[in-house]
Amino acid sequence: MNDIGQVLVLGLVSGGIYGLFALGIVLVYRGTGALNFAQGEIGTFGLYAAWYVDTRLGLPWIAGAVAAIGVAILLGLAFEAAIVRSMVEASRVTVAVATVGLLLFLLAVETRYFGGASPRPIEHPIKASGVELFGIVVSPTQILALVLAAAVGVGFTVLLRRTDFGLGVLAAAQDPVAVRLVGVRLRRVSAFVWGAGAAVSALGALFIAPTVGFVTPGYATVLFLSGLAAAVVGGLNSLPGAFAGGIVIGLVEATTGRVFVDSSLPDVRFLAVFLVILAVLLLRPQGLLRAIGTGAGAKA
Amino acid sequence: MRTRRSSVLVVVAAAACLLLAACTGASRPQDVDVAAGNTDGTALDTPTDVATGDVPVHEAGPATPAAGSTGGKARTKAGTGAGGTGGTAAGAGTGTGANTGTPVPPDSGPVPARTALFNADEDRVGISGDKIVLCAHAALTYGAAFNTGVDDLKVYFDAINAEQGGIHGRKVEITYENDNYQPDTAVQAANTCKARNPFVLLGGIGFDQIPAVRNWAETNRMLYLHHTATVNGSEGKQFSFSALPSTERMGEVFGELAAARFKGKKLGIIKRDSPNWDPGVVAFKRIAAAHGIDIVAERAVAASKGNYLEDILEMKNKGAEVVWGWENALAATEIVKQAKAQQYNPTWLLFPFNLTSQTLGDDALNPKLVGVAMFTAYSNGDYSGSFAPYAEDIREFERQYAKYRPSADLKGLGGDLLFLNWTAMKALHLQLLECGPDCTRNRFIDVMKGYNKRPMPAACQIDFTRGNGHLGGWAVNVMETYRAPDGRVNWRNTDSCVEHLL
Amino acid sequence: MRRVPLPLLLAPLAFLPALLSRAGLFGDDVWFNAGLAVCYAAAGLSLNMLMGYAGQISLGQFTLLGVGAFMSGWLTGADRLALPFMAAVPAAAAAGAAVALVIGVPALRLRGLYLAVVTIAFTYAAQLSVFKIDAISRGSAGVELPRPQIDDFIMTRNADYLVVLLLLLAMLWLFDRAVTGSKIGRAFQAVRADEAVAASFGVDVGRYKLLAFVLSGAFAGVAGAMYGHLIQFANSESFPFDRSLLLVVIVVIGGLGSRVGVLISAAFYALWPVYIVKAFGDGFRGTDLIVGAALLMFTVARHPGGLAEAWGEGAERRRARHVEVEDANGEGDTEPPMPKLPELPRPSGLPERPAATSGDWVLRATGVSVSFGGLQALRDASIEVRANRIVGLIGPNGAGKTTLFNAVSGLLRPDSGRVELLGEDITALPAHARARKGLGRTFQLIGLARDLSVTENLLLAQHVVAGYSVGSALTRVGSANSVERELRSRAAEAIAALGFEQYAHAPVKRLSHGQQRIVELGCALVTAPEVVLLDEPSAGMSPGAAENLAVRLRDIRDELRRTVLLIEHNIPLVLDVCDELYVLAGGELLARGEPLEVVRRPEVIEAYLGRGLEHEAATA
Repeated sequence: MNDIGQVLVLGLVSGGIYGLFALGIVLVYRGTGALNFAQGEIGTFGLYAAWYVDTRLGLPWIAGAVAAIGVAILLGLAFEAAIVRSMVEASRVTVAVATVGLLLFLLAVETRYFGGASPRPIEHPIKASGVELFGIVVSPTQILALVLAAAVGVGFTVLLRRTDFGLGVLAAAQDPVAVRLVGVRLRRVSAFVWGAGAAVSALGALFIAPTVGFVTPGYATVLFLSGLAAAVVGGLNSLPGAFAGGIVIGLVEATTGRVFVDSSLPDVRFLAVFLVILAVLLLRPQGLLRAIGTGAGAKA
Repeated sequence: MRTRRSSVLVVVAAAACLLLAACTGASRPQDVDVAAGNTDGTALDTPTDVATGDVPVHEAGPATPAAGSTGGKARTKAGTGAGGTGGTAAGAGTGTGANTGTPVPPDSGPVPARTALFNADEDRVGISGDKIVLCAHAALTYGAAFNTGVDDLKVYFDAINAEQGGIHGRKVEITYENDNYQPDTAVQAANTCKARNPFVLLGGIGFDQIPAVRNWAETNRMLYLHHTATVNGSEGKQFSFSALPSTERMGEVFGELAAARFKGKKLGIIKRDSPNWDPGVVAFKRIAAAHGIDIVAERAVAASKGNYLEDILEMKNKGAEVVWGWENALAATEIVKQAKAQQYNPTWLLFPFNLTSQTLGDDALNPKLVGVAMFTAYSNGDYSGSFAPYAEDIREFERQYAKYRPSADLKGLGGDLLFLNWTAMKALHLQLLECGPDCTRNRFIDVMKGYNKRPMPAACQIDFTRGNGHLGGWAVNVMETYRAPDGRVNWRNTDSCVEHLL
Repeated sequence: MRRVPLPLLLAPLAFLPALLSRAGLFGDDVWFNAGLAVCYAAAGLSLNMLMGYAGQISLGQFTLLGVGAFMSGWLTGADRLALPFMAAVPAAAAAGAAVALVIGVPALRLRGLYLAVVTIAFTYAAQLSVFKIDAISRGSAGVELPRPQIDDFIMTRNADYLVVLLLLLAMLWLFDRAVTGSKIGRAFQAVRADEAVAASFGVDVGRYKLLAFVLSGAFAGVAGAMYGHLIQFANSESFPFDRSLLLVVIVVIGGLGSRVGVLISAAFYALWPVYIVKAFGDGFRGTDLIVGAALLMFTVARHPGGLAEAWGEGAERRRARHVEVEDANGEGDTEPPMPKLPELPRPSGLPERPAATSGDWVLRATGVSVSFGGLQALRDASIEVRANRIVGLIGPNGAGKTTLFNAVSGLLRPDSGRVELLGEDITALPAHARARKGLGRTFQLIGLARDLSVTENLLLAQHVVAGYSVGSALTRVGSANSVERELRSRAAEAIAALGFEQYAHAPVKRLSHGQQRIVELGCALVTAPEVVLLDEPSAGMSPGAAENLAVRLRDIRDELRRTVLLIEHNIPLVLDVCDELYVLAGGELLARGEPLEVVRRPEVIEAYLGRGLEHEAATA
C-alpha cells in the first residue's frame, strides 16, 4: 500500500513538472509547428540568472525568479528574432535543428562561464517544511509546481481558444501567409509564442531546481525529454493534453522505477518512457487525448 | 566543374588545418641530451598524480630505510650510496631535508639500471641537462567547479624552480592537457603530451579516462603514472604505475569501515552505474559478506543524474541507516542535499571533498559525514589536532601559494584539491631527487619498483614492493566532517594512513 | 562515370603523412588530430547519407559508430579472434547496417521529429544496457583495438595509421558517389523533397527510407572501426550521446547533401578545440562549442544548405552573370511556347501492359469515398476514362478534385471504393506500384524535386525502369552503368525535344514557373505511361501559354496516343481540349457529359457562382 501511495505521490509531483515543460513544448509546437529542443535548457539558463541574483546579489527569491523568467523571455525573443524569423519557409525538421543549436549553445555558454557541473545551490521559494505523504516529504514548492502547471495550462488554453489573439496564434501555425492577409501580426504572434514558451520553461526550472538542489548545465534537458514524452502522449497539439500527459508520464516513470528496482537496470524508466512514446506514435499518433479541432499537429 | 571546385576546397582545407597546427607550436621530435654524471641508483618511489591527484601517505615509521628494503638490493655500491639517499629518506621524516635541495654527491660511476623497459633512445626522453619535462592529462573543464585553474596547479614547481633551481639543477617544466573527463579526449591529450617528449605522463583523476590512456601508453611506450584506477585491466601493462590505492582497494576499505564502525546497522548503496566503478562495489560486497553486513538497498545511478529522489526513497523505505555513496563529489553533494529535503539522515560514507562539506554547510554535520580517501585532509588555517602531524607541509604549501599564487582560493571549495595536488608534486619531486643527477626512465622505474616508504608527513606509505611492482598505494585516510576555526565545514582525519580497519 | 573519380586520383596522396612524418614534419599528435578529423568526416558522411540525401533524422549516429567499434574490437582483439583489421572493417559495416535496419523499421511509419525521438531512445538503450554488457565492452578493462599490422610492422605511429584512414575515407567517398550518381541517390533526394512526388515517380518510399538507414549504418560501422582503432580503446563510456548531437551539427553546418561541406565541417570540429586553445590560450577552452552552436543556428536560419550552399550560391551568382535566365524578362508574353512533348518509345524495363483499344476505359474509379476526421471530402465519386481521350475534372475549390486524384494515384487510401487501371484492380497497390503499372501524374504545386537539376528529375522520373540492384549501384559491377547510360540518353532526348539543353543542369527551382511545368510534363511522360493525371497544368500560365498547352495536350492524345485526365480551373482551356467533362462539388459528382453542354447546366453554374447569377452566366 505504501508503495502504491509513493508511486502516486512521486508520479504527481514529477508529473506537475513534466506538465509544465510539456506545456511549453506544446505551446511552441502549436504556435509554430516546431519542436523546441532547447525548451529545458532555456529554463536552466534563466536559473543561472536566478542563482546569480539570489546568491551573489543576496536578493530574495522572488527577485531571482523574476530575473530567471525575464532572462528566459529575452532569450526566447532573441532566438525568435535572430533565427526563427529567417526561417519562415523552412521545414519543421530544420527549425528543430535550429533549436538543437540553441540547446548546444546554451550548454556551452553555461559550461564555459559557470563551470561544468558545479552545483550552484538554489533555495526554495517557500521555506516552510513539507508535507509527508506515504513516507515521501513533499515540499510546498512541489505542490506549488503542480498547481502552477495546472494554472498555466488553463491560462494558455483560454488564451488560445477564447481570445482573438490566441486564435491568430493557432492559425499562424497552419498558414502563415494566409493569416497575414487577415491582419494577424505574424511578428507579434511569433514573438509571443517563443517568449511565452521560454517563460514557461523558466517557471518549470524554478520549481524543480530547489527539489534537485542545484543548478548544473543540462539537468533541465533531461527533464525535457520526459516533458516531450508528456506532450506526445497528450497529442502534441493539446494543452490540457500536455498537462495530463505530464501526469501520465510521471506515473509511468514512478511505476517502472518501483517495479524494476534491480540495480542492474538503473535507468530502465527512461526506456519505459520511450517505449510509451513509440507506442503512442505508432498506434495512436493523435495522442491519448484528442485535441478538439486540428492543430498544427495534423502534419507531423 | 564541381569536382574541380571540391578538390581545391579539400586541398585548401587540409593545408590550412595543418598549417595552423604547425604555427601553433606543435613540436617536432627533439634531440635528447645525454645527461652526464653518475647515478646513485637508488630507487625512487611515489609516482603521484596531478591535478586532483592523490597523496601517497606513509605510515609514520623509521625514516631511514633498511638497506635491503630499497632498490639497493642488487647494487652493493648503491647500498653505500644509500647514505646519500638515506639523507633524503631521513629528511623525508620531516620533509625539510628535501627542501634544502642539496644535490646528492655523485657516486663512483654510473650504475646501469635494472629495468630495461626503455631502450637507449627512449631512456633519456624528457630529461636533459637543464630541464625535466612533465606533462599531465586532467579534467581541466571541471576546474571551474572547484574554483581552480591550470595556473593554480603549477605552483609547486614554480617555487622549486625559483628557489632551488629545479631538481639537480634541472628546471621542471610541467604542462596540462585537458581530457574533458572522456576517454577519447584523454587519448588525444596523451598524444599532445607525447609530442612534447615528456619524461613521464601523469594521469589525473578519472575513472573513465585512465583505462584508455594506460592502454595507449603500452603501444606508445610512454611512462605513465596515474591516479586511482581499477586493477582489472592493469594486468600486463608494463608502462603504467600508480602510487594510489586502486578502485578495488577503495571499495574494500569502505567495506571495512562499514564493518568496523557500523556493524549491525542496515546499509544502503548508491553507486555510479559504470563498469569503471563496479570493481569497487564488488570488493565492498566481498567484505560485507564476510562480516555479515546487512545490505538492504542498492541503487545504480547514471552520471549527472540530477534527481536522486527515487534512489533516496529506496534507501529510506528499506530503512538504511548507513548509506555508502559511491559517486563523485558533485553527485554526492546533490544526493545528500536531496536526502535532507526528504528528512532522511543516514550516516553517509563518501569521498571526502571540501566541495561537499562546504556546499552542504551545517547539513554536513548532523550527522557527520564519514569519508575514505587516498589523500589527506586539508582545512585552511587549521594546524592542530589531526592536522598537527603534517602541519609543516601545510604551512609550506600555504607559504608557497601566498608567494607565487595569492589569488588561489585555499579556503574555499578547491583548497583540499590544491593541497593534494601539491603533495603529489612534492612527492614526485622527492622521487626525482632520489633518482639522482643521472636520472633516466629506467632508473626511475627502478626507484619506483623498490620503493617502500613515506615521502613526507602529508603522504602515506607507498610500497611498490608488493604485488607486481606497478601498484604502490595501500593505505588510506579515514575522515569526518567538522567545523573549522574559520566557521566553514571541512574534513579532518580520524585515522591516518591505515590499511585495514579490521 | 567516364572520368576517373577524384578520390581514386588522390589516393596516392594518402601515403603522404607517413612520408612527411618520417621526414620530421609535424609531431605525431598533429597526425592524431588529423586522424580524428578523418574519422569525424567518415561519421559525417554516414549521417549525411541519412539526413542530407534521404532527409531522415538520427540523433543516435555516434552510437552506431560504437556498434562498429565493438564489433571490430571483438574480431581484432589479441585475446579474441585476432583477425586482421581489414577483415574487421566489413564486419563492422555489417553490424552497423544490421542495427540501423532495426532503427529504420519504425522510420517507415514515422518521420521528422518523431523519428528523432526514436533514435534518441535507441541511443539511451544502447548506452545504458547493451554497451554495458561485459561480453561486449569488457567492463573497466575495456576493449583493446589494436592498430593494423602487416607482418611485423604495426601502425603505432599515428601518421602511418592516418594513411589507412585516408584510404578508407576515400573508399567511403567513392561509395557515396556511386549512390548519388545512381537511382538510389535520386530516390533518396526525392523522398527528402516530397514523399508524394517520389511515390508518383515510382519510388517505394518505405523501402528507400530503410535503405538509407542501412547504408548510413554501414558507413557508420566503418567509421566506428576507424575511430576505435585510432583511440585503440573502447569501453561503455566511449560513445556518449552528445557526440551524436555533434555529428548532426557537423552535417548541418557542412551542408546537407554535400560531401565536401561535411569534410570541412568535420575537420573544423576535430581541430578547433585543440588548436584554438594552443593559439589563444586557456581562456578559449570551450569556445569551440559556443562558436559551433552559434554557427549551427546561423546556418540553419540563413543558409539551410550549410557551407556548401553558401559557397554554391556565390559561385552560382558569378555564373549567373554569364548565363541568360528567362526570369530577367519576367513571365507573361515573352514566355516561350510549350515545346512539343517528347515522344519516347516505351522503355524495355517495364512490365507488359495490356494494350488499350479506343473506346475501352483505361481508368475507372468506382464509389470512392474519403473523409478526413469529420469532414467528408469525397462521397461515392465515380469516374470512367476511356482510352485516347482527354477527360476534364472541374469544380469549385474544395470540391475534392485533388483528393480524387490522390485516391486514384494511390497517395491516399479511400474509405471505400475501387480503382481499376487497364482492367486490373489497383485499389490495394501503393502509389509507386501504380506508377509502374502505367499511371503518370503531375501536381498542383509542381511535383518535381526542386533541388535536383532538370536532367536529374528526368532520371528520377524513370525510376521504375532503372532495373539494377542496390549492390550493382554501389559497386558499379553489373548492369548499373549500362542502365544509367540508357536512362541518361532518354533524358537527353527528352531535354532536346523540349529545347531545354541550356537548362539541363540547372536546379529546377531556378526555372520559371512555366518552365517547371514543362519539365514536369516531360517527367510525367518519359516512361510512357498509359494514363496521365494532370493537376491544374495551366495554373500560373498566361493565356498565350495556356493556348499552347492545349495544343500539346492534343498532341499527347493524338500523336502519343495516351489518355489524359485533367483537373482545371481554366474553363476555356477545358472547353477547348476535353472530350468529356466531370464536375465535382462538395465531394460529390455533380455532372458528367459533353463539355459545352455540361457547363451550361444550372446546377454547375450555381456550384461555381452561387445562386442568382446563373441567369447572367447562362446568357453569357
